[in-house]
Amino acid sequence: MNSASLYILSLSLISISLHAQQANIIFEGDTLGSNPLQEVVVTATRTDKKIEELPIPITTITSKEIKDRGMVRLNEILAEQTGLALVGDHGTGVQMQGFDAQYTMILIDGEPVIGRTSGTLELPRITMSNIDRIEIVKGPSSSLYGSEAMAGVINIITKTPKKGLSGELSTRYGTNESADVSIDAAFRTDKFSFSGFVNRFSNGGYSLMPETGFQTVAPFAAYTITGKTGYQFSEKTDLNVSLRYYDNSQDDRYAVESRAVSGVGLQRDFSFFPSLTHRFSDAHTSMLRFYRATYKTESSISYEDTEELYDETFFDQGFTRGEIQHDYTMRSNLVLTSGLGAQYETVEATRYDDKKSFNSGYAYAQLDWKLLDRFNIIAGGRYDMHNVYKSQFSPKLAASYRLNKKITFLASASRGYKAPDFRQLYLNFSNAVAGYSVFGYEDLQENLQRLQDEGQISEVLIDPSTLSKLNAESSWAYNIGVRMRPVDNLIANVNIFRNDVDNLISTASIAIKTNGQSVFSYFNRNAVFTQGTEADLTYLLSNTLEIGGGIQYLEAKDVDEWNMVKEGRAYTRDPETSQTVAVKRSEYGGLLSRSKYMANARISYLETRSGIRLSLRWNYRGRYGIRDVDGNGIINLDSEYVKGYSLFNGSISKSFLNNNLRLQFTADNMLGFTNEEYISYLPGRLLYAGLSYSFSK
Amino acid sequence: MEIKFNTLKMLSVAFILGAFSLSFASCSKNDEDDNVIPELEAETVADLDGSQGPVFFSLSTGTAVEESATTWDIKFNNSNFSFGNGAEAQVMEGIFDNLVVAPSSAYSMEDLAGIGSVYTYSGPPNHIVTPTPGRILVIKTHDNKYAKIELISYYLGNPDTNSESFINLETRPDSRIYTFRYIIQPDGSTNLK
Repeated sequence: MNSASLYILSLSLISISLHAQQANIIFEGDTLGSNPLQEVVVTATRTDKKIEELPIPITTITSKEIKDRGMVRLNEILAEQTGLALVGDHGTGVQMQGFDAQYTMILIDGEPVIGRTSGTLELPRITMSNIDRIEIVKGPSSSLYGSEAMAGVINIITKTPKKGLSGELSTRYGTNESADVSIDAAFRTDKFSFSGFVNRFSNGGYSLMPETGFQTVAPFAAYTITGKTGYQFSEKTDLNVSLRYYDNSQDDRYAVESRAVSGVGLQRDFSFFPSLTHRFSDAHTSMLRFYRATYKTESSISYEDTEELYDETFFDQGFTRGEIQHDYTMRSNLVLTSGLGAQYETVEATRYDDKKSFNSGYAYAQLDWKLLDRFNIIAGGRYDMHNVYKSQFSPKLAASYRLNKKITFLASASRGYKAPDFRQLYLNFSNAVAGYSVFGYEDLQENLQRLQDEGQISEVLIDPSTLSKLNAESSWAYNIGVRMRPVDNLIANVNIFRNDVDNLISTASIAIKTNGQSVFSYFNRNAVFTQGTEADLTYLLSNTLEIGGGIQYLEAKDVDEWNMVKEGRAYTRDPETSQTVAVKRSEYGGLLSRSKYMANARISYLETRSGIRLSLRWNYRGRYGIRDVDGNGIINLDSEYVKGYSLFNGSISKSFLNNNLRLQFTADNMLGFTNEEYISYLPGRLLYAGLSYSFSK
Repeated sequence: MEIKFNTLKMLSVAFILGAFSLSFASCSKNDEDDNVIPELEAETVADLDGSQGPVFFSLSTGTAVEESATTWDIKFNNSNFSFGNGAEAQVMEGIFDNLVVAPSSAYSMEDLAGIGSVYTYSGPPNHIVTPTPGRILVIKTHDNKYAKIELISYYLGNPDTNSESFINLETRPDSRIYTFRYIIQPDGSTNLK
């Protein structure tokens, strides 16, 4: 999409919103809540299904909740969900069931968002404009979605327009010159629908250590423009096309060996997603989907004093997929869902030798069987074939048993996997300052040979020809839980999970260079496990007052480390005597960045006479390991943790003009907690004011 | 209704508690020490000063000696070690008291780089050298006695390396001042209990 057409698109959207000022007003439900278990979700089975019938735990967040909390970006809402934690590693990502950000798949309307840096998909990239709800499925969903869905899936479902013309203008402004402006418009007749929005999100950046003269997070301005249109050819056939464009430019400035460097970083992504649905009969429905996404970054950084170029990089990723899914309702209680797809991915970047590409194909099938009105069984699997690494089969079996109207038990076992990414296969990177090199597995032999020919290698530790092929990381996951609705106004979920992960890919030294530095490559090395329990409760005390809360207890351990601790072979020094003692089992802190305890509580209240809405939330993240201090390579001392912390967020809003105009004040992190050393994504107290106007006709 | 709700509440609380206790149970057992009671007495050398240059130590006399002396076994040189007069060494893993028998072979006269073996260097920003936990230097001395050494500190006064005053480079005690403990078996056997 070129800039001219963008301009026209945005102009037409603005004119629609201006045109509709005298629109009629629709009364929006003024109380909180309904029966959330009746909600229909799609992510867990790739078919429409009520939550109460699902044998798989799922969480949904409605756009109303997001608005009532004054939130505009994906990271803000995920930070407050039970069992999820934000992690800062080349961006802000999400940790789920103790897995790093790279193991959670992020989808928009069922199609993956691409563009990750060291595995992290920067969550603030995704606006909460024009969305209907977010669905979160924890535990592997590789049986439907393939690679990346090892920890779980977060699916952002965009809005389907209401009949007639509707639109909204919303703005939020606050601390750090943070500004978010969205204009969206939608139109729908019996056969045709169109919706789209333009969003601008900018921030002046902030510094957690102002004395350095540099900002922790750089100023940026990002635009998101989307358009979605649908046409119903007949009762039986619909066509939908979605477009999404995102553009971010960021003013980077930091110090390299006491010299200031600066420059602009650009990032653009684009996606195009047409789909055609045809209902052959009541029993047969097919959906043909095509998805093309691109993600590009460009950065040029120069020394400020000499204007000499310091670093110039680019990264271009392309993802194309064609897929057909067929749903066959064999009997009223038995649905077979199956699909076939082919995928083509490319990457071209400064740190890769030339353009690299992946081809893969897959097929999946799933049976959804309701038995005796009490059991629901889902059995399925997906087979992925790939031109570079070994094929993967990911089965899943899930069952629920409804004891009575109030209690349903759930259990599932499934396999998850994550394919080696481009970086792990093809990276060719030498750090000019520090002198080390990192090579992806596929090109390792060639690159190492080149260094040997150049006389740069003093010792080869592992002969690359003896290495076995890099494999996908894989897991077995087990989940048991209970979904309870003991009284009409109370919903509680408890889940216990265990993930056994094998073949984790990590870097290790393969050769020593003559400068004493290492050559690193990627290996399937570690096994880890995560296990824990999660409980969440929502209670509607009255039509206008809702309270809720959740906790997660988590253990995430490296299998080798844990064995060493159990066998008394992990050592530390006694703080009193400085003499070596064995690390006790209770002292072993497991994997970095995992909190054993997390908790949250929330209350929302609507004062019906004044129309004032109040929302207050508390989020606690328990301490988590950050570094090794005593030299044993594991987390076991108090000084190796980041202290636990609490965040208090709140918002107050009042609606006017029959709910069409809303004024909102938001305070995030009210007590202003920061940790300049270890938590870059928490800028301190954030105050915002927001104003939004919506109409429909 | 009320009664039923309470029963269910109890049930769910029990369920959560059950889940928690299950996960705790797996890590609460077997945390007591099973250390050996030593028979030989360990000598502790406090603040052996190597800050003005290498320092030479004789395990049989338990003192620092001149470089020219024929009795020194181990030379402390910054974070590195050398062995003299025929003394040999190897690094072993484990707990000092639990290493009850010295190996009879695999000793080496080669210099030993401390960082990455018996010492850990924190790197920037704090640049701290600490003895690596679980590393024992086993020495066959110049006069063919077996000994074991556990390094305790690289800084004057064996300070707490996590303390504010230590992290601050202005107030950090001098480095290359060694504290360690050792046991030497005078009878020439490999028994180090």
